[in-house]
Amino acid sequence: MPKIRIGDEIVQLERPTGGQLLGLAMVNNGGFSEEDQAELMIAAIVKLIPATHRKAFVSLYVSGGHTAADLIETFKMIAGTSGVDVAEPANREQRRAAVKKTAAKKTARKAPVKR
Amino acid sequence: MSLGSAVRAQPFTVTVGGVTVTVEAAMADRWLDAITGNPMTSVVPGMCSAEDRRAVGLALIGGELSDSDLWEAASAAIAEASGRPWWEAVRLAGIADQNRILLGLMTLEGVHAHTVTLGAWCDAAFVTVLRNMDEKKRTRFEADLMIPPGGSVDDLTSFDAVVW
Repeated sequence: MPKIRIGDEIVQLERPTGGQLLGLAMVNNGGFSEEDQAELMIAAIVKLIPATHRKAFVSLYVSGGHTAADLIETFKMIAGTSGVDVAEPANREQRRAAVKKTAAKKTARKAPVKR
Repeated sequence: MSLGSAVRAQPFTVTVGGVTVTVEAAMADRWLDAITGNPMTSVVPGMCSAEDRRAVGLALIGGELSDSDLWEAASAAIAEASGRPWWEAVRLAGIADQNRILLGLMTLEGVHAHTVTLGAWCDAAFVTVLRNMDEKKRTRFEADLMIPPGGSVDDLTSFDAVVW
């Protein structure tokens, strides 16, 4: 699971549930207003931080220790390492491309060796 | 399921976990995108208002909703919009997605997804398939279309699993 720095401490985030993974994928895929997107990203980060470190993270955020860009980067990192792309690819083309890639690999394996 | 939602595009409500959300009125093209696009969230909350999308997003992230809550809501929404059991609508959409001849035949008949409801589109797709099918295969096709998918919703990971 991903880790984030809160002050001087490196904290391991909690493993998202199936529902949380879908939520992460939804936010990652966009389709929200800028305000809603930001709210959902912050909610996701806070929720995955262990309860023991949430207060420290929020204090740091409120005092300006994290910029909006930091939060977006943190969210993308969480989404990436949680495997949301596997849980819910952004669109059909992406899935089809993945299928084609797999098919191509299979074909390549079956191809006879040229002498 | 009501005939009203199937024959006219109108908003209706479904529950996700304990939360009631409103599915916006939409023609078949948006529904087909949502169903064949596959992401479970593209139906509910994808077809809902921005406010409901935000609420469901927060509930998912907060751990208050599970993926099966979302699946059940999506299934109920598809059934309501199509006026059929959800798996029939998903299968008909899947056939059109995999076999463009069906879409071509429907276009030639003047059935354009952006001008008809999901219910009307499903009815037209069903009749188009039957009309163009060997008579001996029709009963089998109808049976295959109507048989509910096996297992529980927890066993289904995507709509793709329901399409033959």
